[in-house]
Amino acid sequence: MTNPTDQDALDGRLLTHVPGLDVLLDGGLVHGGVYLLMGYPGTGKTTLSNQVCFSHVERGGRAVYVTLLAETHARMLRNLEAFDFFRPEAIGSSLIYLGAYMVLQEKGLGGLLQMLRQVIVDERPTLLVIDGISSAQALGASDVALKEFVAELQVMADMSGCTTLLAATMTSEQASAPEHSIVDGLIELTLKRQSQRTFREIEVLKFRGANHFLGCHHLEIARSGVIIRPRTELLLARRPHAPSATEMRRAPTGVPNLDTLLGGGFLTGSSTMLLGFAGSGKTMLSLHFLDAGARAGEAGLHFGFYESPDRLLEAADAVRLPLRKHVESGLVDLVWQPALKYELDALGDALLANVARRNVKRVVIDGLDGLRQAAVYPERVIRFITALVNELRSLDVTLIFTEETLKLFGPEVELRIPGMSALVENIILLEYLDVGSELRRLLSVVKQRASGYDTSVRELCITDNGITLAEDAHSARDILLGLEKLAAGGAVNPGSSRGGVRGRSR
Amino acid sequence: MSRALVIDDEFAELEMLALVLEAEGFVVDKAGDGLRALEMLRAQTYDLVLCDFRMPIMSGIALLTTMREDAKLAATPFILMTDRYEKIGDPSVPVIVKPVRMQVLRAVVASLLKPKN
Repeated sequence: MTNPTDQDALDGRLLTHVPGLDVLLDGGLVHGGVYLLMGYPGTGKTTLSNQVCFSHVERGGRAVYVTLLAETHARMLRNLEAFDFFRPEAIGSSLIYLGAYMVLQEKGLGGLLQMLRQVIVDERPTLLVIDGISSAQALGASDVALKEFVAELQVMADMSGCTTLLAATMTSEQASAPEHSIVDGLIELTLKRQSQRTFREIEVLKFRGANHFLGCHHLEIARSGVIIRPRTELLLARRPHAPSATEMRRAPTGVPNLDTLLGGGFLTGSSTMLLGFAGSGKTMLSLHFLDAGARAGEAGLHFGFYESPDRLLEAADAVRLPLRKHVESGLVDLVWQPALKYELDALGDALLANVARRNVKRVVIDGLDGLRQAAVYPERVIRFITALVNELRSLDVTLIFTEETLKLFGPEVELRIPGMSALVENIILLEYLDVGSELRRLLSVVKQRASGYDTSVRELCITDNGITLAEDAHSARDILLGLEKLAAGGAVNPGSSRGGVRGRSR
Repeated sequence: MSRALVIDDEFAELEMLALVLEAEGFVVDKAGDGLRALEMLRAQTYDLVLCDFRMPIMSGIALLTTMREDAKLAATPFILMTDRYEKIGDPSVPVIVKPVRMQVLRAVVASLLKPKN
């Protein structure tokens, strides 16, 4: 995710420097605008408002933070001390905190306005935050009075060029229509629960003068402060994409006979789904792929959810795959994301940042279920993956997804994400067969878009030297014919995906 | 101490403008229309008039014309505020386009005169 540059600050926009927020707003706040930041307690309004203030003064601005809450400044600042953006030296000089609850209580909105005018003239802030405007309603201010208050704030903002944030404990459903219509922007923070997961979201409901991102986006509060993750599919849709390469190049898989089936390897920039039950060889195959790339000087990334980097290195060592050497040289990066620790857009950001930073040309996402589990809204997964595939294709990155099939044996292959088979360019199926008392593996190329391929089934073995694929289809044919004979004799239950007998049901 | 008269039919703007001039060292009086302002100008000496262009009852340009025809008021420094650029044909009258920015107002006032404390 690339945040707008300071050049945008020269174009009448005030950059908040909150990660993701300026992207969401299509370039930051507008100088002199008045914005309503809504949300229940705990959604992050105070943290976000303060973070904007500290970022602003760090870059030469002046900010005044006015609270209309009964909570003392000392208490609020104590709670902010844990954040990296907190700079105590700015307080009292370029960042001023004022309490106006008493003014509001004793003199109403008129008295508050008088105070704010004086503050603007005396302190000359370029950013003003008024936290707790809902206190005015609690103290009996009418909707009309609030509307007039906001209108006068806009006059002040216009004249002083001071951007104003009003933080209010309310939701968009509760906020009255006049406030909605008068302010230059409406931003809502929410805290939602889905099953046992609680997550924060931000939505820009209104924003004058810019093509902001619509809909809800993930918000997290980390030690660095608020981080906003615009939905990956929207973000990537706005990026200009380089035209596709006209020359068709191949990315060898590292398994020689597989490259023969594919006509030399995967087309660069293509996406492949490796389908198979656990232990069928998907991860090992993907490590061969990264090894092949590293040998050719191409940077690779294994983005996994199941096995830790140490486990992967042990597995590679066991089959004499020089993965460890590639990791030590920096050519291959093993990134492990424990399931459910991160949200979908955070994963997308991390993956794309790694690709950009290291000029990665080969990516393995091991496996798709990790992305599915990270998604708060399951229906988003295919859109997210589509955006990711398109982005990596435009970067000429060759991508492999591993996906576990639900059944060890059987005629059906179920895909858990609808639309995946149409999305990816290539599909390779890894199957188990129970032959007498022995488990055998078969590999077949089910699909390769934009290129011919060998449709023959090949036996796959995992040896001390990694994955080997039979040179021809004979052994696979023998296995299948042998099973058919066994089935004809009634010794094995039917259940093959190939019209004969393939595996047996348990 | 210098005295300024601010004339604007918009209350919120009137209050802000008055505060800005007070911060610059002026004693400030306020009026909501040109006719009321004329009454105040004939009753008191002002060192500066800051006036909105369009107002009910008597507009800013009408007030300026009346002042220029009155020997006692003709030389009073006058700043006109308008929501679009207006050519008024009097080079001695600065015109500030609204929304009036505080720093612009300060600069125009400073260039027009110096407040006496």
